[in-house]
Amino acid sequence: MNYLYHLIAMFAISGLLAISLDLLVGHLGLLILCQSVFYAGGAYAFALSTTQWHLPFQLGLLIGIVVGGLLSVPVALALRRLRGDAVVLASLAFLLLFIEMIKNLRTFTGGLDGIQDIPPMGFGSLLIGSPAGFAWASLAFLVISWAFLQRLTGSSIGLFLHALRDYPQLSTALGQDLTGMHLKVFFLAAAIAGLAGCLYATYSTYISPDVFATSSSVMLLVMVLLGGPGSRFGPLAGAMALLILPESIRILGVGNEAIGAIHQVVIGLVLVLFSGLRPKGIFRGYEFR
Amino acid sequence: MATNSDSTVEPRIAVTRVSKRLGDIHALCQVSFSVLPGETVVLIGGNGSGKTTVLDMLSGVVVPDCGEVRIDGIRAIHRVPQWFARRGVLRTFQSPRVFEQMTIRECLDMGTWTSSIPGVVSATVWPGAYRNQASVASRRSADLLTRLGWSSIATQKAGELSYGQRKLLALAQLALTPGSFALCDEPLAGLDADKSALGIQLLETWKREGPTRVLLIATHDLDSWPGDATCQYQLENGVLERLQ
Repeated sequence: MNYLYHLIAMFAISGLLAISLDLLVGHLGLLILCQSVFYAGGAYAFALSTTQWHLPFQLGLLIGIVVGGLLSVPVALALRRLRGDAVVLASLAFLLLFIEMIKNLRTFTGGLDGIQDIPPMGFGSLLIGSPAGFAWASLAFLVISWAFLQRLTGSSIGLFLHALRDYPQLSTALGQDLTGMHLKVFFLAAAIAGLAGCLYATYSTYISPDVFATSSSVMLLVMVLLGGPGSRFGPLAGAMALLILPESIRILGVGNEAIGAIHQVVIGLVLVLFSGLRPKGIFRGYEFR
Repeated sequence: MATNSDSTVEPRIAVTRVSKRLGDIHALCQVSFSVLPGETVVLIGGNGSGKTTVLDMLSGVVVPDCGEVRIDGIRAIHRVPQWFARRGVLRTFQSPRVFEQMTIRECLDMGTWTSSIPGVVSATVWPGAYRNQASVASRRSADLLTRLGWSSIATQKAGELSYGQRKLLALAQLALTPGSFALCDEPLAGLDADKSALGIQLLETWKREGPTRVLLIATHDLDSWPGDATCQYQLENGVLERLQ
C-alpha cells in the first residue's frame, strides 16, 4: 500500500512539473529545456530555509515558490525575442549554468553532497508524516494548480497567448504588446515548478544536483510532448506514462540493474513512434514543426 | 480639419529624409512627410514603389538606413515592433493575415480586449471582473457581426474564410481595436463593391471614435480609395511626391 502512495506522490510532483512546463511549451510555443532550474531553485530554497534557518514548513514553501518564480525572470528576459531552435539552446545554457552553480556554491548548497535531513511536511501543529498524508496533500496541490491553469488558459488570456504563439508578427501588428504577459506567464510556470521542488525536497528529505540534471529536464519535455502540449489532460497523461513505464518493465521481470538502460531505450522508441504516428501527442495538442 | 501647412500642431507621424536600400534597390530615397492628428493620408504607388516599406518602417519591422522617424514626437528608429504596438500602431497587410485557428468571434473579441488585456490573476481568480469585461466586448463584436452579416458563421474558423472575407475580417478586427494609427496596405484590393463599401465604413468608423486617430492607406491607384483623404502622396521608385 505504501508503494501505491509513493507512486501517487511521485505522480503529483511530476504532474506539477509537467503542467508548469506545458504552460511554456503548449501555450507559449517555446521548447524549454530548463524547467529543472526552477524545480531545483524551489527545492534548494525550501531545503535551505528549513534546515539552515529553521523556518516553519509553510514559510519554506512560500520561499521555494517565490525563488522558483524569480529564477524565471532572467530566463524570460533572455528568451523574449527568441523562437524555435534558439530557445532550446538558450534554455539549455541556463540549465547547465545553474547546475554548475549549485555544484560549486558549496557553502549554501553542499555541493555534490547536497542537503540532508530536510523536515517532513507539516502545517503548524498538523504534521503530515505518513506516506498517505503526503500523497493526498501533494495530489491536492496538483489538482488546485491544474484547475488554476485551466481557468487561465481558457480565459481571454489563453486567446492572446495562442495568438502570440502562432502568429507573433500579426499579434504585434494588431497592437498587442504581450511582453508583460510573457514575463507573468513565465513567473507562474516557474513558481509551480518551484512548488514541485519544495514537495520533492520534503518528500525525499535529501536533495543533490543529480536530481536536477539535464536528463530530468529532457524527461519533463518528453512528458509534455508525449501527452500533447497545450491540451487539457495531455501533460498529466505524459507524467503518468513516464511513471508507469519503468514500473511495467519491472513487472515484466527485468532485474533492477537493467531497468535504467531498458527504460531509456523504451522511452526513445516511444518518442520516435509518437513523432511519426501521432505527432500531437496522446491528447491531441499543439504540434511542433 | 487640420492641414499640413498648420505648423503649430505637433505631427503624430513625422518622417524626415529617410532612405532605405534593400539589396541593390533604393526602396526609399530621401522620403519626408508628416501626418497631423485626425488626418487620413493616402500613399499611391505601383508594385515595388516602396509603399509597403513605408508601412513596415512605421511599425518597426524595417529599420531605415538614414533619416529620422518620430511617432508623437518620440524618436522611433531602432525601436522593436512591440514598442510601436504599445504606442497604438495597428497594421493590416496586403495579403490578408488573420488568426486562422480562431473563430471569427474570437478574432473580433480579441480586438476589443486589446486595450485592457486582463491580468493573470484577475482572469482566473475573479471571474466577475472578467465576465463583466467580456460582456461589453461581446456586445460590440456581436453588433459588428450583425453588420457584416456573419452572425450565423461566428463560430467558423477564420482560416476557412475566402480571400475577400479574410480581408474584411482583418479590417473588422482592426476596427474594434483601440489604437492611434491604422496603417493599411491595399485595404480594399480584391474586394467587390459591397465589401469595399463596408471596408471603408469600418475604417472611417474606427477613425471617428478618436478625434486624433490617424489613417494611412497605401494603394496602387487613386481610384482604389474612394473614402475621404486629407492629403495624397505619390510614391515612385522610392521617391515621394505630394499630390494635393
